[in-house]
Amino acid sequence: MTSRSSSIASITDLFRPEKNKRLRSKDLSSTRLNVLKKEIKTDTHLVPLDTLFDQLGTDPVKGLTRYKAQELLEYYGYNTLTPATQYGWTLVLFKSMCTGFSILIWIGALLCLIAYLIEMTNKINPSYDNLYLGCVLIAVDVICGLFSFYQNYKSSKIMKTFNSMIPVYANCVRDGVMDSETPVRNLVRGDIVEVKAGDIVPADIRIIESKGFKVDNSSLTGESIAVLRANVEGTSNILESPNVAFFSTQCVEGWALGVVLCCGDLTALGRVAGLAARLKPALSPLARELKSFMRCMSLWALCLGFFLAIASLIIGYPFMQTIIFVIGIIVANIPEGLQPTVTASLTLTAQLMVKKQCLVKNLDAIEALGACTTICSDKTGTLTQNKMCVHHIWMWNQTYNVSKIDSEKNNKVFQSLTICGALCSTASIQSDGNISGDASEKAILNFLMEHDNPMTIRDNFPKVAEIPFNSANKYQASVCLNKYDSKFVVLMKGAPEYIANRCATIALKTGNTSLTTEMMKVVELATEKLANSGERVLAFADLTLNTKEFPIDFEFDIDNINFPLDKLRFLGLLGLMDPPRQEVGNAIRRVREAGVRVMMVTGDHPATARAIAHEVGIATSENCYIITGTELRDMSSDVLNWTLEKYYEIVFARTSPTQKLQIVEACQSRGDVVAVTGDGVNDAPALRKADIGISMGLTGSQVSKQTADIVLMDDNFATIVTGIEEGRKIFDNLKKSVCYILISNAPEILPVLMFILFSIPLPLGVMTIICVDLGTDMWPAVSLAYESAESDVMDRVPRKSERLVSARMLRQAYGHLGLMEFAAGMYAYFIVMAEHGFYPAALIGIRKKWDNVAINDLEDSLGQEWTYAERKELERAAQAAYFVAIVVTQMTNGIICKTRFNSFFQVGMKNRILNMGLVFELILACLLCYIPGLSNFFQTYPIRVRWWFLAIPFAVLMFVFDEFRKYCIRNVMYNGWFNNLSYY
Amino acid sequence: MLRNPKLEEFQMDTKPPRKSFQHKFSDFLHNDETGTILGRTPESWSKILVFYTIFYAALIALFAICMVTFLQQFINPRVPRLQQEYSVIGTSPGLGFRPLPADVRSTLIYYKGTGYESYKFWEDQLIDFLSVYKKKGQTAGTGQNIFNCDFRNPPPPGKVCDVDIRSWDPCIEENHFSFHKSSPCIFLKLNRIYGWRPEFFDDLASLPPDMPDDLVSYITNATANNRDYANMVWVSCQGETPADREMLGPISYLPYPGFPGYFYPYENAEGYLSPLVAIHLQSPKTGIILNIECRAWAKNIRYDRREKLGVVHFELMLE
Repeated sequence: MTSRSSSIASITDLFRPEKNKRLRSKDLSSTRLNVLKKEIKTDTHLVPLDTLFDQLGTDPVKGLTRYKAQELLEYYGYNTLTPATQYGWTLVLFKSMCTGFSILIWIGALLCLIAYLIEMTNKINPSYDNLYLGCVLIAVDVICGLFSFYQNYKSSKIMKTFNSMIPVYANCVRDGVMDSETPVRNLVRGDIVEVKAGDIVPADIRIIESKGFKVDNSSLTGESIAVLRANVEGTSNILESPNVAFFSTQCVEGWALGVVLCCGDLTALGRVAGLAARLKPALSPLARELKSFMRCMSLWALCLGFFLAIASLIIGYPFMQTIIFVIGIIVANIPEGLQPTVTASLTLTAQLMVKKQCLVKNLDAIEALGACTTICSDKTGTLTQNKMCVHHIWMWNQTYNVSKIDSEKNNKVFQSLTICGALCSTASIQSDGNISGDASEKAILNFLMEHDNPMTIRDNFPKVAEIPFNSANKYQASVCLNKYDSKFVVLMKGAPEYIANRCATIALKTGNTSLTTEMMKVVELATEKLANSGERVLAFADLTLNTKEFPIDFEFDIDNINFPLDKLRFLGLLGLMDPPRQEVGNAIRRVREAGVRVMMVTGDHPATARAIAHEVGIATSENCYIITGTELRDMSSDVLNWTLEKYYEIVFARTSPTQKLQIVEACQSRGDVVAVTGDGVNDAPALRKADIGISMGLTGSQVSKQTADIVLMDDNFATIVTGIEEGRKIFDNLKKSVCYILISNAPEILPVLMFILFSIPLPLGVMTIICVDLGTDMWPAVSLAYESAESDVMDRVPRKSERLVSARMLRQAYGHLGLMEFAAGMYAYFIVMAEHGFYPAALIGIRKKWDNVAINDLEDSLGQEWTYAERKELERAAQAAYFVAIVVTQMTNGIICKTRFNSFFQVGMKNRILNMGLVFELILACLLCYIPGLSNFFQTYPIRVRWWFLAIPFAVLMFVFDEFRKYCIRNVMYNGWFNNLSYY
Repeated sequence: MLRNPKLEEFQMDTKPPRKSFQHKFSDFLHNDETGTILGRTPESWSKILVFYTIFYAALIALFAICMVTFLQQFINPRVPRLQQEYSVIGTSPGLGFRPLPADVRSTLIYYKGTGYESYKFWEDQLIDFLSVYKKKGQTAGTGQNIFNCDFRNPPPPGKVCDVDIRSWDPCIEENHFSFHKSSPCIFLKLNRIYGWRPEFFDDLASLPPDMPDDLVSYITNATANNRDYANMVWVSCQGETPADREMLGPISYLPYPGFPGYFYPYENAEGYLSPLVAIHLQSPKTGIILNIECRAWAKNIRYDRREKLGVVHFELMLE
C-alpha cells in the first residue's frame, strides 16, 4: 500500500506546475506521457474513509483548513488541465520550410546568389540571370513551405475543448463553512465538495454521503447511461468503482457529498486529455513513403551534384561553370511539383468527400484510409444509434421481434402490457413532441407510441401513487385508477428476477394461470436468453385491487406501504437495446470484403458488445473472441500481440481510454494501419494515436471531433466504405501522378550530363526546368487524380508492401518514357541548332568557346560567325525547342499515365479535367514562349511553329510502346516480363 | 475464424533471425541459395540485357532516322536553312579582333617590354590566325577559286576575293607584327553572315554624325578620287574615354580603314577569306590600361555597345 501511495506521490510531483529542475521540458513531457499511458493504480477508493481522511489530512464535516488548502494549492497548482508543450509557429514555419526537397532548393538558391555575387564583383555589367534564378528558387521554396505550413499548423485546440467541460464554481466546505462560489480551479486534494443534480463534478471525488446520486459518465466512457454512485464498497478498478464520481461528469439526479481524491491532470479526465494532447500521431503511410522517397532523391541529387562538381573541377572547368551545373543537377533531380501535386490531389478528394458528408481534417488521412488494414470501432454511438429501443417482447413462452408484434394487437396480454408500460414509464412527452426522461423509459414510451397511444392510456388511468426506482428494491411501482371500472391497479416494472418473485399468476392468451416453479424457470430462461443477446430486460406485472379493500377514496401511502406488492400477475418481458445503425451491417460486410479487419473496442458490457458484434457482422461465428478490460490489464504485450495474431474477430469490452490506446498501439506495432472510430472523450487518445481517427459529427463530442482526422458529418458509418474506396483510388491515381512527374525528370537531368560529357551548349536551362516542374506539369499531374478506378478497388486486400514509388515505376519513368522524351528534346535541340548553321558534329566540344564572353566571332558549320549575344540567343531558342518537346511529349504522357493497366482505347478521354489540363499545358507553354516579358524572364524564345512538331515521332513511339507494354501486362505475356519490369 | 492456423496456443510468432549488413550485402552480391548476382539470376540479367538492347536500339534508330532524314532533306551542307533576319544571327554583323587572350572572358592584350618571350604568345596567335591567308596560294583546292576582285569586278559565283598580306606592312609576320617595337598591330574582322550585303554610305552628306572626324575626312578624300571607294564597310578605332584617346596615340589602318564591299555577300564559297583591317597602334602609352573600341560603319550595321553589335572592345597594356 505504501508503495502505491508513494508512486502516486511521485506522479503528483511530476505534474506540479513548477518546472522540475532535473528534467528538461521535453523530457518532462515524455515522462508525463509515459505515466499517462499506464492504467490508473490507486487505492484511495478502497481504503476505509477514515484512513483516507487521515491520509489527506481533512475532516468530513469541516473540510480542509483555508491555510492548508492554500498551501496545497501553491504546491500542486490549480485544478485545471495543463496543455502539453507546444511548438511556436515560428518553429513550425521553419520546419516546414526545411523539409523534403526544400533544403536542396535552398542550397540551389544559395549557389545562385553566390554565383551572382562572384559575377558582380568581377564584372561591370553582370547579367541578372543568376539573381533571378536565385530569387525564383527562393520563391518556390517559400511558397512550398507556406503550403505545408498551412497544413502543419493546426494549433492543438484539444486542451481548450477539454477545459470547456470544466465547471467554474463548486460547493466546497472549508473550515466548516460551505462556500458555493469556490472557483473550481482552486480545489485541492482533500477538499469536501457537494454536488447536486445538474452540477458537473468538479474533481474526482469519493462519495461520503449521497441520496439518489446518479452521474452520467458519458464524457468519460461514452455510454450515456446514468449510473448510481454512493458510499459503498469500491471495486478494484477505480473507473468502475461505484463510490467514485469523476471530474467533468454530470450529476443527473440526487446529490452527494464527497472528498476530492485528485485534481486537474491527475483526474481520469485529465489523463485522457493529457494523453490526447501529448500523443504524437504516427506519420501516415503516404507521408512515410514520401519522406523516404524524398530522402533518397535528395541524397541521390546531392551525391550526383557533388561528384560531378569534383570531377569537373578536376577536369578544369571554371568554378562558376561548376556552380551553374551543380544548380542544374539539383534542380533537375528534384521533382519540385511532387509535394504540391500530392497535396492538391488529396485536397480534391477531400472536397469530394465533403460532398458525401465526410469532413477530412487531415489530408493524409484520406489516403491512409485506403491503406487501412484494421478498424477499431467504438460501439455506442458509432455502430449503434445511442438510443435505447425495445427490441424483443416476451409474452408467455413466445419471443416476438418488435417488428412482428403487430399481429398480436388483439392479444389481451399485449394490451395489458401496453397499459402497464405506459403507466410505468416515467418519461413524459413535452409540448414540442420530444420525449424526455431516462433512456430506457424513453424507449418504452417510443415503442408504445408506435402501437398505441400511451397518452390516452395515461388519461384513462390517472396515477394516484408511485414508488420510484431505487437500487435497493430494483423495481418501480405505480398505482392507477382504472376509469372504466373504477378499480385501482398496481403496476410494476423492474428487474425480471425481482418481479417474478412477486408474482403469483401469469397472463396467458387464454387467461390467467398460477405461476408454477416450472413456469418460473421458463421465465428465467427467456430472461437469460434476452440478456445474453445484449438486451436490457425489464419485466412487467400488474394487479387489480378489489374495490372492497381499496375503495375509490383509499389513501395510498408510499412511505408506509399500505397496499399489496406481491401476488401480482406476470405480464411479460421487454428486451431493450441500443440498436445498430441501419447501414452499419452492410458497411462492415463491404469493409471486410475489402480485406479490412474490423474489431470492436467498447466500454460497454461484454454481452451487449457480443450481441451487437454479431448483429453488425463484426463477429460472424461463435469463435468471436471477447476480451474484457480486466483481462486486457493482465495481458503482457506479447500475449496481446499473439491474441491479435491468432483471432481474427475480436471484441474488446469494458475497456478504459488508455486500453483503447494500448490496443491501437499493439495493432500498429504489428504493422497495421489502424483506423479508430469513436465519438466519446474516452476515444480521444486512441483517435489521436490511430493512423486515421474518425469521429461522428452529430453525436460525437467536441473533443473527439477536435482530435479526429475525419469527421463523418451525418454519422453514417457507410461513408467509411466510400472513404476506403476513395483512399485506394487516390493512391492508384497518385501513382500515376508521381510517375507523370518523374518522367519529365530524366529529360531534365540528362542535358546537364550531355553538357558535361560532350561539351555541347546547355540543352535545357534551369529556369526552363522550373517552368516544366512547377508550370506545365502541374495541372495534368493533379488532374490524374480525377481518373476513375481501373478495376474494383474494393476487391483487393489493403496494400501493405505496395509502394507509391517503386523500382518498377522508376524503371518506367527514367528507363523508358523519360529517355524517349530526352531523345525528343535532343532532336528538337539539334534541329534548331542545325537550321541555324550549327550541325550536330560541330556542336560537340564547342562548349568552351561557346560560353566564352570574349569570343565574339564563333564560327558555325557554314562559316558564319556568331557574337556571344547571338549565340546565347540561339541557345535560348534551342532550349525553348527542347522545352517544347518536353511539353509535347508530356502531353502524350498525360494520356499514357491515365491508365496503368487498361488500354487507352478502353478508357477514352473522359476525364475532362485532364483534357483541360493538357490544353492548359499547351497554352502555358505558348505563353511562356511568346509573351515577350515572360520569355525573357524564363529564358525561353518565341520559336518557329514548325519546331513544335519535332517531338511528334517520339510521342507516337512512346504511345505505341506503352500501349504494347500495357497489352503485354494485361495478357501476362512473355511470362509476365513487362509486369515484373514496369507494372507499377 | 483463425488468423494464423499454424500458431498453436502459447506459441509465439517467431521472427526470422536478423541478418547483419555485411551478410545482406554479400547476399546481394552473390546469393548461393537462389543463385542471384546483384539481386538477379544470370538468366534474368541476360533477359534484361536483351530487352534494353532492343529497346534502346529502337529508340536510337528512331532518333537516327529522324536526324538523317532532316539533315538530308532539309539541310544544305553549304547554305544555312535560316538566313539573316530569319535566323537568330540577324542582319547586323559583329566585329572581332585578333590576337585573343588565352584567358577566357578576358579581352586584355598585355605584354611586357620588347623581349621576344613576352610577346611570343600574341605573335603565335596571329601567325596561326593568318596562316590561311598565307597558305592560300600553295593549296591547290582553295587557291584556284581566287579571283582578282575590284569594286568594278565583283567575284562571280563560286569565286572568292584575294586578301593581300603584303598590304598590311608593317603588320606582317616578318616584322613580328610590330609587337617588338611596343607598337602592336591588332587585326579586325567583320563577322560573316551568310548572304549579308552591306548598305554603303554612298552619299557623303548622309554620313552618321557620330562618325569620327578622321574617318570622315578619309572617306571624303578617298571618294573624291574614285566614287567606288564609297562601297566600303568603314572601320574606326578610338579610345573609349578622352584620356584613352590621348594616350593611344596615332592609329593607322592598313590597307585602308574599311572592308571593301566586293567581299560581300558571303556565300560560303570554297576558300572564302574574310577581309581584314590591321590596326597599327603607332605609339600607345605604356604602363597603363588602354580601353579601345573599334566600330564598323555601314547603314545596316546596328550599333549596340551592350549587345556588342557592330563594335568590339579590347584593352591593351604594354609595360
